[in-house]
Amino acid sequence: MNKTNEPLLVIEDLTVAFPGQPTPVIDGLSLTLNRGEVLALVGESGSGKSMTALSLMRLLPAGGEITGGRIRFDGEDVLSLSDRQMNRMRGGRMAMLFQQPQAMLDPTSRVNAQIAEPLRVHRGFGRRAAMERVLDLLREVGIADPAVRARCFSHELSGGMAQRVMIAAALSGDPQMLIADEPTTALDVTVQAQILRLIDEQRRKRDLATLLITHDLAVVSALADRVAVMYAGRIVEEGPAKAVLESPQHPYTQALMRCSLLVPDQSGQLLSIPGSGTHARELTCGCRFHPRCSAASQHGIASRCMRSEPALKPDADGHETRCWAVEPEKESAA
Amino acid sequence: MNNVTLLRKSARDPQAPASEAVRPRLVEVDELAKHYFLSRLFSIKSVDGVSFDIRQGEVLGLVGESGCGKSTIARLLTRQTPPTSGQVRIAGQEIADVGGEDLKRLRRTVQLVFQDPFGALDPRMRIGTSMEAPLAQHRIGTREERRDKVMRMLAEVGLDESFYERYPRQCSGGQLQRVVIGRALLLEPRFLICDEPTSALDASMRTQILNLLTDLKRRHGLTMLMISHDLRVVRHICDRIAVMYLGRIVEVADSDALFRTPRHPYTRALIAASMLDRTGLYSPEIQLRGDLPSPLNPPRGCRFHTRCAHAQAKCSQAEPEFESASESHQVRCHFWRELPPGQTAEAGSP
Repeated sequence: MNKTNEPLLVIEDLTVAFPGQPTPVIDGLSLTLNRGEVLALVGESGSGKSMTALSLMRLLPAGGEITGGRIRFDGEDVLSLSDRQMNRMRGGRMAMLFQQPQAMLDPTSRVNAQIAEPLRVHRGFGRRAAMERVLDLLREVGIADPAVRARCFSHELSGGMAQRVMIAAALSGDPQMLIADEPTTALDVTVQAQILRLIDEQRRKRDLATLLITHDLAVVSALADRVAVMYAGRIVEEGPAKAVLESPQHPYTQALMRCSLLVPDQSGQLLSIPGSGTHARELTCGCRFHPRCSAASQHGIASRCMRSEPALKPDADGHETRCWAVEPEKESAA
Repeated sequence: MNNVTLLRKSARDPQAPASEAVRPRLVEVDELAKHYFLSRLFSIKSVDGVSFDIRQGEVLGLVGESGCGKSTIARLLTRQTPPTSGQVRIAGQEIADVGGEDLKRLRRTVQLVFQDPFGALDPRMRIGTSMEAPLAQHRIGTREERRDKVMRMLAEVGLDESFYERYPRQCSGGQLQRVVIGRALLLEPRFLICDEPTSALDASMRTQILNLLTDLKRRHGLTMLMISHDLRVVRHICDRIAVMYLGRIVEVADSDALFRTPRHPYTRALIAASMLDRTGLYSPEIQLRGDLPSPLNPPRGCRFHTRCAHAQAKCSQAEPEFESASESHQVRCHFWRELPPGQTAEAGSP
């Protein structure tokens, strides 16, 4: 179906661990990302979604280690690249946006210098050519008065403008893949819509593969083609955005949907997921979600949920779910 | 002085089923303004002529983008900063006039919950100690009694006793926000101000905290001011919502009415933006042009006209007055009658 037969990004069985922690933060994660596609990685804080992004860039915080699995990006094995090759990759073919644009911009250098850096490092632009390209990029990301803004420092920008500048810097290396880690969480709702539109326009225009990391399902529904839901270091559900959002299969995804809608039930209570997922990783056996799961008790399959962990099982349309409740009962004898 | 003491006694009386009309006003804000002077010529009009009331037991939402002055209002209501002009009366008392012991009592009456629970708790203090500190400050009870109170409060906000001995780093953001809310309630305030209480939290934690606040409101008849940039968050907990733009309130209405028939174009844009999933990314209502203008130099006429899709010549000349669309629905727009019906975000069910 695709122009090339291999997806742009293939993650196989990725495992990331921190020394001193009994269990890995990412546990056997497999994902693919096609060219021009937006894949949303959804989950609560601590589920491992940001760690996934950082592993792709090989920027894990000190101590974090990729202990297993493979990452292939455009046919290259990311994990076996030398540091030098990896430096060329970052900011060049892979670019990243962060939650707090203000904190990610260098407070001591002007906007134009920061956007020009990838142009000069990765694409061999000269000083003057780079500065001209910077103005084009600023215009392209919708910054009014680019000549003035280019000479600003980051503290002179509003949050929305700073995120636009980050997007311009990310695009300047002409990347094939954009990793956006909670790109709009720190912004006001009105500005959030503008930034999401900008990301959407750019990826259409540039056929840019986008890994969108967020906990906000509204953001997902606005942008994503495919959705992967993470819980405690594992993917629990994955499929086309429409299928996952309209008929979520995993009880965790269902609960997350209800939380996001902020709609109360008859008693006036908002639906929430009891407890927290902070210690879910430490469960030694069974499904990691079972202590908070309503389906586990409802379907009378609680014992199975506590005993062994289900595998990701696809349905006919490639919508995969890791839950005993969606599987026929016959396997319980095993 | 007596005033405050008397009212305090009847503060915790959730059973009193006073009808809307009879409920006394607990908080009265009159033409409140806060200008920060940068030089003799320039000032930032952070809050510029804001008036509202909150009745006893009522929850008022205050919504707007960052920089619109909503947090400054929280600071003014708690007397952390003096107003440039205007008045705030809490329980009938003008807060600018109180001092000494009365001020201490006022500070007890009004409590604040902030956005970031990690920043609101001392990382080197056990949670129990942190929670007891305000009680000790106000010389309430003996050491044992304070410990008892804290234990009971932990249970009330849905945490078990083990939290008493824990440090903040051993807890999640949601749990810490419960601690912060519990600590505020220990002083038995009559008025609780929550400044973005759920913005730092995940979706599931957010609903847990909102449920907790709703619950506490019912149980204690708390009067609250809920400050947020997200209309969805305040919708179900608030009785009324005020929308702020650049230091001014542009629309006030009952919660349901505001969502059913938003009158101000800014309110409509906020609703559309917060309902992103349903209306789609390219809906025209969302398309607010650009960012909030600088409060240093707010646009003339209607302050919103630079971003408004329906702006006409008059909007850049004269600032609209507050007009009543219905008894409990006020709007500050020249053309609210003529606006196209637009999409009303009547999306109660999933």
